[in-house]
Amino acid sequence: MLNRKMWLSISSVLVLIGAVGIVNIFIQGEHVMGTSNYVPWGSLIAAYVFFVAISTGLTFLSSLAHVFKWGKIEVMTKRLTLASIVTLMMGFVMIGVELGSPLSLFYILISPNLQAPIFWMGLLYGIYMALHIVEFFFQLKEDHGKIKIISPIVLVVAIAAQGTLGAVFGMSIARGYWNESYISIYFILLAFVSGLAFAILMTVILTKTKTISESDKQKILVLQPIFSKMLIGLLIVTVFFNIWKWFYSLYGNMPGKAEAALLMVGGPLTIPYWVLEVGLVFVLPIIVLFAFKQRKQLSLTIASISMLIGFLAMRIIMVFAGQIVPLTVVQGSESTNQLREFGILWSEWATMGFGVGGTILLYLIAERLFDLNVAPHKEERRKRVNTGEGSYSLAK
Amino acid sequence: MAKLKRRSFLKAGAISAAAAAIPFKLSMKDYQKAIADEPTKKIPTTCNGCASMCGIYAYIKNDRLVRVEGHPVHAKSRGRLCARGHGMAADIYGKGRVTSPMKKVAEGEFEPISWDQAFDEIGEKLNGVIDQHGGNSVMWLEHGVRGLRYAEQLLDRIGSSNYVTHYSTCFSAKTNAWQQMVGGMLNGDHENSKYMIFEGRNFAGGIIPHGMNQITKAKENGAKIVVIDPKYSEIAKIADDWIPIRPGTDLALRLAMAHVLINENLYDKSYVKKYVDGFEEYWHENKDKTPEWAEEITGIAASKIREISRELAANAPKAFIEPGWHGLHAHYINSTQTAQMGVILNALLGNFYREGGLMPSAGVDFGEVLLRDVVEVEKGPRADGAGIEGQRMTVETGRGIAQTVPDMIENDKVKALFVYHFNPLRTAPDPEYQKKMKNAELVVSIPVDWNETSVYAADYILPESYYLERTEVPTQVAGHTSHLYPQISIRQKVAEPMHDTLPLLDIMRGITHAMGHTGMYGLTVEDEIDQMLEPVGVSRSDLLEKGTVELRSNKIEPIFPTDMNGNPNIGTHSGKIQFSGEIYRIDGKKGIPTWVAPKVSPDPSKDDEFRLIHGKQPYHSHHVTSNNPKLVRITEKYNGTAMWMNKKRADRLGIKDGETVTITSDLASKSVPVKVTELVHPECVWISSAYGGFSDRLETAYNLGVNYNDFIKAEVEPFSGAVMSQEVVVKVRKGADV
Amino acid sequence: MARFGLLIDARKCTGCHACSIACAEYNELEEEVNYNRLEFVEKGSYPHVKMDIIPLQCMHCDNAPCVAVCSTQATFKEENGIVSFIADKCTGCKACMAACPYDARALNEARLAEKCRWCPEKLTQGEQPVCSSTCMNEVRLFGDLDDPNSEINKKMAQHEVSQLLDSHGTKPRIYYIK
Repeated sequence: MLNRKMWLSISSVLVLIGAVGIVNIFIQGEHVMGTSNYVPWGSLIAAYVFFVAISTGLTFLSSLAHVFKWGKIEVMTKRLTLASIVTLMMGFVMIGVELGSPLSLFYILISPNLQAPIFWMGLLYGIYMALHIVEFFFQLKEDHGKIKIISPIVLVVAIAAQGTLGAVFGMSIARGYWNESYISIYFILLAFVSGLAFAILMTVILTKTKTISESDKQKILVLQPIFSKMLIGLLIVTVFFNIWKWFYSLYGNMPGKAEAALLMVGGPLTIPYWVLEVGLVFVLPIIVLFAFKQRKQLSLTIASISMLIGFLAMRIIMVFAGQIVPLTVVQGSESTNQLREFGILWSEWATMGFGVGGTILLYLIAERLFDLNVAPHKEERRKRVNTGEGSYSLAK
Repeated sequence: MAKLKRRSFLKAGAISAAAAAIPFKLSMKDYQKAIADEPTKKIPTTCNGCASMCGIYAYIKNDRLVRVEGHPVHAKSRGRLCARGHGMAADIYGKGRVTSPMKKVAEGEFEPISWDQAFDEIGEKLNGVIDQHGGNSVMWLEHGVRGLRYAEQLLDRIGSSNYVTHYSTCFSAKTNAWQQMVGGMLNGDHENSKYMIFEGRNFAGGIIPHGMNQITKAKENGAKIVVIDPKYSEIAKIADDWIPIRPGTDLALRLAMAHVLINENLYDKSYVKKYVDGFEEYWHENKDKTPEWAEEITGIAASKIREISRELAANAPKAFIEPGWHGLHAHYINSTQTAQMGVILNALLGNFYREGGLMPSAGVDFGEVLLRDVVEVEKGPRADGAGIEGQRMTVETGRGIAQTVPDMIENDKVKALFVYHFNPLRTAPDPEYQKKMKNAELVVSIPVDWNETSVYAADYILPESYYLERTEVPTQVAGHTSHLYPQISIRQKVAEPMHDTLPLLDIMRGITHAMGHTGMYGLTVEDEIDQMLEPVGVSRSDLLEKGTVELRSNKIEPIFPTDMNGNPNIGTHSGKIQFSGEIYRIDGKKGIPTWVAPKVSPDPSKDDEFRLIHGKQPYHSHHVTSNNPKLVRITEKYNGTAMWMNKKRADRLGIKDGETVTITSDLASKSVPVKVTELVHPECVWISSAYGGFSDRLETAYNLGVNYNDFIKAEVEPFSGAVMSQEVVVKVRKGADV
Repeated sequence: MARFGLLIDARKCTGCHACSIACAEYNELEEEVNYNRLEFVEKGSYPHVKMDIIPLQCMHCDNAPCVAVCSTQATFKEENGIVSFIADKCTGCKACMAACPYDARALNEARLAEKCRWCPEKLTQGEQPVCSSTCMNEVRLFGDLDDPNSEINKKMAQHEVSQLLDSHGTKPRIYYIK
């Protein structure tokens, strides 16, 4: 399982198939996607949300070291930052393929619309990406002084960006299912949980590779129970959010809201919702984490993979649920009798596969290029104090 | 690729060559500029989205059709057009067109041949058929009547009486009865009317744009509109009252309405006395046709029948029952009597030749075209038996019977068949039966596209140029609506033919010359236009420039036509409006209409039995437009192929909206999506007449929906020879056909 | 400056779709793209039943959600009331399509979210756009809402009018005769 060559080949195959799908979409256009004039946003918007949310969540974790001064996690910071950058890039690939004319994004600089959530989202994610790379650069150089300055900014931008992404959906007055203010907060919460799930999977894999020292492995193993507890805690909050979402959806007669909720009870999204979203994100991980305490690594592997798949499903379900209930422009119109058609076609699956494969491949390449192991921190501090360099220890 | 050959390219080439005298200086940029700089030309012509031939303007840029719009003068369009008119223009570049003459090489397989080869082979075969079986064994079958002017020259020359139009599949009960009873067709003066009944007449489905404009204007001015139809048709949408009637029983309703008018003394007595022949006989026959009697049959309350009859009378003579076309006039065994009642009810209202009532079309006296090489050859009896005692005596010879041509071939009456601008394999009953047309020794189809008849029955396909690619002789603007001054309009070539196609005149010239009649069709279309326009006082160039011209002569007056002695003279047996079709008094039949029950009816005790009825959708002209991608896009978006079924009946069968159901008759079993609705009579199911294409060379139409003709046998109504297309009971069940 | 509006008398519409086809022809729209559509509403039960037909197209809202969400100002509000669109600036993000409560926008082959522009070259010349000029029942009447003497204002004064989904705060510029 942990054979590097095997990972390289799997990810390369995914990337190659994905490239074919992407080219197909760019050549043939929206015909090879499951979108329509009525369901303009498809699975790739969902995949975009999925990847950038993981990226944001990983930033939350890595910033625990420098912003919240939680030393235990330092052993993973570079890898978390790298993974965050890589998933963010894949998120950009997803949205880039979904955009009909990505080159026109140029106009976002020339004639920006300050009213548009997408403008802010684009701006914030652009800054986030740039700062993230700078942060990673200084992490590699072990320049903690600069990291300390950048890291909190990255965190703030990440939160703002993720919140704005929520607003892209939430501010849509036409779509009752999305149109609510708490969706921004919910997005930030989900980003944290998905980042955690991703990080847990990393801990499992990292402790089985030969690339890091035994002592670091031990440090990482220490993180696992903490991550699990955080995960369970945040999952409970998420469940709480969801239960209230159900109440709000079914209560009152917000156009589009109750109908969308009913898609998940007896509608076409019923099985995806209860099996893939509820089952894989909440039920299975909680059961596994509680029931198989003795086989920690296996249960963590199952839980994290299950959650990641579930999160992708969750995003897709959310994107479609907001659109497949026909808009009621005229009460009682025949056009509202049937749900809008929707789907995910092979080119889109391939593009999502590109995202998964690309994440793995880029990570593996970066791991070869850069030294991701953390230098012995305390010695360095001492060294800096001794040489009088930097203000870090002085402040302490 | 043809685009690159066009004038703008040459022009651009010439400019750059002249400017620089260096060959191939022409860049893409120059080319684009030349294209953009080319002015848009606006050329008047006439539409062919249906048979109404509305005046249009075609916009041409770089020799390519850009779009069309309604001609501002033409009485049918007045600047407005329907969806078909807009959509069908684009079919000049459509995929389904036949691109050159074709010769059948095997079942359903054709090879392109030259026009010369086509003419030579057809000419030779035609001569062979005439030598062996006589000229009368040649039949010309067409939509009607656009081909008549050229077809009859050939038929006269070879001695054939067999000119047949599609009318018997469409409305011949009306044309037969009205010719007998009022000497022609009159049209509703919608604009000035106060009360209009559209019974089985969907004016908003079979659209005359300016006609609809007049109807909505009249409504705004206070006119009342009543629609009587088993289906809530498009015209019902603007009606004050929609009265669903049990299909097949319109005759009973009309008899009862006449009963109210006469019994309650509401009819125009002086008018009837002066202008009607046969009133007493009519009343004697129909004294018992009370509203209560009709309520039983039609399902319409007697009080409702009284109400609309009284309202009609109160608004007379500015009130009428719209004469209609397809709606009631080829559907049932009682269609001729129903058509007769259309005349009788309107005559009782005294509205013929009255403002706001029914008015004739203003006539134009075109000049006679002097044909050369005219040799009249004696003709044999008609193959369809129309007008022949002991056969189809009562059927008009000018139109004939179109649906039983395979029988005429089987009985050796027809050996060679021309099918012009008509597709009986799809638009006449029972396609499998119609396919037997191919058994004639020679079948020549003259279409524009690969219609079913061409693909499955023709030996030769001779493609006619598209209506935007040909010039025709001028026509009088007439039919459907009323206007005071006569108009003439002309169809002219607005774009060069895309393919190797010819106008009908050139096709006929080629065939007859190959037959050895080298003097025939000697005039060009321009010669013909000049001769026709000579007495009209409009020059060819003027007409071609204006497209439609309104004349200030021959104004229509609301006066009943009389002879020199002041006696009524409308070209009928008595000169008056006849309440009896004299010719119908044969074989013990009555000339006076009275109740005739429909031939078949669904059994009310059987939940799955329905009468299958059909109608026009406003964005399709029956099947002709069903290969147009733009119009079919509307079909797809608005569920146009669905069969309409009443909700109560659907509930009983457990059928839900949007599901697939199977329709079964004695002839066929086919599956369609169902629209469960409150908008249709419970005893029938309705489908559009537009679909069911089975020519795989018409990609868009192919396998799209079903057609009512799939389910009905080729039958002949005894009086007018019509198809009786709704004398069919089908079973409907949930689920697809397996 | 004129500020355009549209008054629709849906009572007269008989559902022929000429508006939609004429528009597609005039604007050379691709097959999947339509700026006009009709909504059909069945009311009542047999035999006391009727059908409403409501023509719909871009409402050119004064508070247009599609303008608000467009990050590059590809979609923008003109002074004359028209919500216009510059295809070059469109990134194809489809946010406008998701945002429009009227489902008025349509994606073209180039994956850009096209829209009805009320044929400004006709309106500014005092002509009716083709959806109106070809309509046999004269369902539509375009005109200058700022000019008290315009035909549209005269007609609006004679009838009670309503707007679609005005509760969304979109301030549509299409009015329907009740």
